[in-house]
Amino acid sequence: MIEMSRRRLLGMIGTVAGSTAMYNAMTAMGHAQPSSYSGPIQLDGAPQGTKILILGAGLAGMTAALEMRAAGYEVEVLEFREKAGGRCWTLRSGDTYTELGGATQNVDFADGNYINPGPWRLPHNHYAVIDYCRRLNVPLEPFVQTNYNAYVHRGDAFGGAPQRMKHILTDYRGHVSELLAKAVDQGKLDGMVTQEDREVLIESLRSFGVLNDKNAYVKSLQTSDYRGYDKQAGGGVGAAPIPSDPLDPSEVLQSRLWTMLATHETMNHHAPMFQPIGGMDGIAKGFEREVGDLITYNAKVVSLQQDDSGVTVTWEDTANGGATRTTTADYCVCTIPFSILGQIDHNLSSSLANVIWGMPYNGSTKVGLEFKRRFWEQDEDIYGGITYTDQAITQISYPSTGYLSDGPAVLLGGYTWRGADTFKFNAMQPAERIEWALRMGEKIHPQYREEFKAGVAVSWHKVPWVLGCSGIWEDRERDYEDAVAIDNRVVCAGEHLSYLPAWQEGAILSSLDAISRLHDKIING
Amino acid sequence: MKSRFLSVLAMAGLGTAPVFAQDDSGTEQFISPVSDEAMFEGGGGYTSTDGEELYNTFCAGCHMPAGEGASGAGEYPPLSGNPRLEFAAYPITIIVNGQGGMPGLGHLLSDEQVLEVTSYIQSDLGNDYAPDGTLQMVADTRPVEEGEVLAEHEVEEENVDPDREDGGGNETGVVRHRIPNSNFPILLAAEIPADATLVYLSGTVPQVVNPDAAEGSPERYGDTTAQTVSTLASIEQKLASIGLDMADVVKMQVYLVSPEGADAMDFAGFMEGYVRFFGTETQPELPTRSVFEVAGLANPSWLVEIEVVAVRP
Repeated sequence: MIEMSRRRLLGMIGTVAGSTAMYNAMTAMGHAQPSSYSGPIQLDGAPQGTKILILGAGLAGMTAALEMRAAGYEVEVLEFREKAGGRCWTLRSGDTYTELGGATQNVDFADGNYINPGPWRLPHNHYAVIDYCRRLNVPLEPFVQTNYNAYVHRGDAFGGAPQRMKHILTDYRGHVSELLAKAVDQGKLDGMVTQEDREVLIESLRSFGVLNDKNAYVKSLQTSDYRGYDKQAGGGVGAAPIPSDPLDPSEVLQSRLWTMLATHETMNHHAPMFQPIGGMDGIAKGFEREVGDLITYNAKVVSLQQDDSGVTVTWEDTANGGATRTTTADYCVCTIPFSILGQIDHNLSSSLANVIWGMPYNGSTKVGLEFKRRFWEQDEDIYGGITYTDQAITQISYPSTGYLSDGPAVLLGGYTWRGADTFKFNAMQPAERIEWALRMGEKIHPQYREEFKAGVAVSWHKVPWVLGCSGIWEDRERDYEDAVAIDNRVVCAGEHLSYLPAWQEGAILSSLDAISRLHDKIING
Repeated sequence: MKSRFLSVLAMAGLGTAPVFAQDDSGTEQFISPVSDEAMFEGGGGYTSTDGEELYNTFCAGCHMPAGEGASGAGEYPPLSGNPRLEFAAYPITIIVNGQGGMPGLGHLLSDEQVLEVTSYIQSDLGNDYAPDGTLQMVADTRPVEEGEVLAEHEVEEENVDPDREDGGGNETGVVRHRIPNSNFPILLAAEIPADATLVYLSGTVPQVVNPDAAEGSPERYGDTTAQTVSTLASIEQKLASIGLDMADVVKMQVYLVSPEGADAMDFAGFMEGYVRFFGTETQPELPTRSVFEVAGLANPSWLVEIEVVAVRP
């Protein structure tokens, strides 16, 4: 027997199963905090007149600005864009967006309709971003991730016909439970299940899989109560419910539609999820209300230099003909994405420079489609939630707001994440991306063509201020410490320097950690 | 390719409305550079082996349809008129393994696809380089997977190269490549890791070896050999003063003046002094090196000046 330390065990769990498993194991062992966020940070005792320059007014940068000013620092923020928020961004009616290559989209949505091209949902267990929403008075509403009446769809399953998730979920669980219950009942698992557990296990499978007293998953009022009826229970004459037929077990298995059930169960998608009312940039605006006076917009950083006495940043004032300007400070919190920072002239140490230059950025495409009416609600009884498909669009997410209203509504008609399809969408012009989203979506909703009104398509490799969606670690184990370390007078922060890449929570937690360490260094040397 | 419609360029700036063309039957036909059947077939991967089509449906997203690149907070470098595309090895390496913010794309493309798109960008987009890539070049560029059985030529290169030394006495991470089949005491190449600290020494000149000799006389500094020895000894001292030694030297530039009355520099005399410091039993390391004959140095008596670059261990 090899003796194994607890630390090594956790390391192995982490290596084999990923950080989530390690986190869960640590929690079970009673040694993990629920989150590295433990409430608002208190940074006290900033030396008078110490200036912090923050590069980037996304969530990481504005978190740093808010907390460091509160600590007593003199704070200045430089931002490339004309507004705050970075990837926390909403496109709504009347907005104009020009991507790299020059294609301009004029958002032709009805008033109040919007699409979040970047982050779009907040897990309830992302404690930091939720707490900032609380502190910044950003009103939230539920974001419906899981909708049993939405579809799961594959072109090669059930003749390409979309299936209601409730049918696949219930039937898959029922058929699997039946097999397992029968195996247990026939003693085939006796080597693995004690006699004591056998009875309880069968009882639990009958409950879990909705099996009858013969351990069978069959057409019945009982199973229809989970998967839905042919005719639902009503009132008055002829109100008795009529049960529905479960799908064939083999067909359910072979359809592979069960692959689309898992996302809902992951911690980052557990109900309830939230969204800011009116668009994700509600969070950006909440921060901007607090720290907007510190931000210089339209500032394209071209050089970041530090020496023993301070930090000097050279930038182009793009609102004023690109005039070159210089800003100095005692310290710098740099939240510029590494895809950009790697191209900026800097004298950061070689260990940090290597990570900056070695971090590729992934792509992602989102397509917002506005339809003249809420046919998914009116015709198909789908209120929010997500339909998953094996087509390149991967999903259709119905709006979690404005239910039952008349008039146009916007759904997320495509959301690609890395991979070849993302590059294909990226190589298209916006109108082509929208057309492909319609072509794929109409296989699920035939109303698409008839009801289509307007669309917006954002491909993140073409977003001028970041050139990608989120940072990818080539070797996080090897590089992480170098990347997050304070480099003399500069510390980097952002979603790319977290274990929650592409989540706003990662950006905020990274920033809070970076400024806490920087503050400690300033105070204690 | 089954069909090719209008160029995607024609669509730029048309706002959010999808673009349609009417065909004879009156049904709407979408304008796409790639046929419907080809775009998303094959489980989402790239199936075409046409360099131009691969470029248009992949690379053009960032490097733009005419290879003109793009500029935002950062840049996508232009491929059009890019002299780095003269030799295929460079684009192949970047396509397969990525660079900076660009992800490695080797896992999305076959060797043939990488080669075809490389040949396309070398010879199109306003470039006129002769495509010189090979499938073998692409295969060799791919990262070695753990547990992968190496081909014979790779084993030779990577593992049993007798002319390659990893590290050195001082653990600098420097890889010193010896000249194959040669005992000439300089390196073919020195490979410096990106995180190495390089130290550049100013040019060092000879020391007076005979203080009794008259100023300006050849005896005062000695012949080329003597001047080489005193110069290298001086370099050794300077290095020691900053915590380095001769074994840390990776690069040397030598300037020799033709001695009075001679037709050319005394290269043999220089070598006689040089081999006392490099490739010896006690100091076996060698640097890369260049030797130049120059018309003169700052002092008319000097025949030798040497610059070195060292890597700090």
